[in-house]
Amino acid sequence: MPESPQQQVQFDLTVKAPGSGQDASLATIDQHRPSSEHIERCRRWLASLGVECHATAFGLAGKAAKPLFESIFSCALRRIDAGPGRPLWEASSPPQAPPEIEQFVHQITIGAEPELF
Amino acid sequence: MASVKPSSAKADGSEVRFEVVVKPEGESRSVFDPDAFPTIANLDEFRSPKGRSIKAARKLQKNDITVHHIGEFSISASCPEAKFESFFGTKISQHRPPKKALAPADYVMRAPKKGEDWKLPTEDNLDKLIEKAYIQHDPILFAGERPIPPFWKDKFRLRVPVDVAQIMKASSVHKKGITGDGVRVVMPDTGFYHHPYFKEQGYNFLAVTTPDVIDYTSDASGHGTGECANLLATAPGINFIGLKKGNTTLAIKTAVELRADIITCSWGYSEDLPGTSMPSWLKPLYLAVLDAVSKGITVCFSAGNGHFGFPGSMPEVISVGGVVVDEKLNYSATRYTSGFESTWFPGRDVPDISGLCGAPPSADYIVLPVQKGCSLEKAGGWGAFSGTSAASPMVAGVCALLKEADPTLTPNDIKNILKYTARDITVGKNSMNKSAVPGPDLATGYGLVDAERAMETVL
Repeated sequence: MPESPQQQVQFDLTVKAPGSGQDASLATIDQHRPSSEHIERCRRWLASLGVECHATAFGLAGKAAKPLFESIFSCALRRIDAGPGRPLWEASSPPQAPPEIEQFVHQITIGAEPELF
Repeated sequence: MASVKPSSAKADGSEVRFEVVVKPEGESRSVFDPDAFPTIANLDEFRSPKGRSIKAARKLQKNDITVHHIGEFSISASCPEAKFESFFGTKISQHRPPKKALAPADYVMRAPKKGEDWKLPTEDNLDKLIEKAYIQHDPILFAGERPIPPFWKDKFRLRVPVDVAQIMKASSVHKKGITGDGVRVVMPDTGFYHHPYFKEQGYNFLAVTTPDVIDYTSDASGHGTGECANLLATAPGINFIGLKKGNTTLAIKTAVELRADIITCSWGYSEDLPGTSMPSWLKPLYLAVLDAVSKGITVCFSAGNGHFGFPGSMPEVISVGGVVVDEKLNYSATRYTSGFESTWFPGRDVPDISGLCGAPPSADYIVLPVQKGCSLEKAGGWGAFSGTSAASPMVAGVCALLKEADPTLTPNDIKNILKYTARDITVGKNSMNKSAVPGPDLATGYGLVDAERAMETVL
């Protein structure tokens, strides 16, 4: 049975690039662009596990059922009510990239629906 | 059948329209017989006697009743309400249809109450010719949304497209033939319903989704559908792409891939708070917005409605606040909008400039098209709302006018033109108690965008 949207975890995965970890700006944005091949490798590997994810210029935007997210990224999630515009899920520890794609991953973060202004 | 020249009375609010059925004659039958059951096969039996219909119509006219048409089954007529009451010896009152009829909130029927006195007129022996007369009510439109914005009388509101285009001074630019033609504007939001208003206006309107969303046809919120009407009001000739979004990073990336010239976003995260730094979970979105600007795309974001809005606080975007204009054309800052010094980007003041936005408590200010049954619907497929969500798209429309006039303009050029040609607002405060003063301020930025003056810099 498919998970309800409330049980889905929206996440962004940023792929390593020369500028990863440094502040980005218009002048330095190109240093934050990863190899498109690395993005595609991560995408294929996650898709093979049933994660819906799409390539962005800097990594992946995806969503997964809570248990799947927890098992792939080795963390425990709890639902929180942090108010509008905040992530619905809090991880017990930062989500960890699995060994299969670890060499490509800069960070994995849980996203949130924005507020309508 | 025959027609007679209508008398001079005009149909207006006090007019009653009604159908008059003449008495049957010879072989003809009355449709009001208890055992009458008209079908295609026996329809001829119910046709009014021609000579009698004309005679009745002439007598009605003689008695100051306007005859519009003599039909094969009835005479279409009208007269002022008071005349109808005296002529038929009755009293007209106002009724609401039963709830089950699903009539619009402003729909009323004016007719005699059930059981009210009623008589056939004896003038010129009309009672010998007429069998019945029935008031005709406007039908309830089943088509869903109305294609033109309604007038709701309970308070002053702007209507699209005219009011928005005029106050933003875009109308005069349109008259010069500049409407945003050929400029592609992408708006990621809650969905973009094909409201008949957009068709009526003849806009180039395309609704699509990001790859993580399905169903481009619906908008359960109404936010995207309504707010994009502000964009199309200031730039009616653009190639508009409404992008129903899921993940916001993916939405910006999709807008870039759709080869947008301009992106406008009426949403954000209230996270650029004093004493904080950008959380990791917003960095992918930050990179995506930087990427769009680095590709020469002008990106507009709503500053927020009391929010510390990000990405509206990014120095690379055009951050749009709000100005309220009342019915006497007084311009002021509004207590609905944001204005703040960014913590994450030192030296960055939000907003840059302003569009139109209502006042608290709800910014109920602009009549906007929405999908029937959606959250923001007020009645008849229309809502009344605004916020800086309204201001950003209308400013994005002005960006499109500039881009049509000079396609070589960079995002920074456009921002500077808008800032230095804006109408300074010197009255009022915003939601963060920042005052509008002469010159740039945190209440409205450089003021209300002036499309006409902005265009003078490039023509």
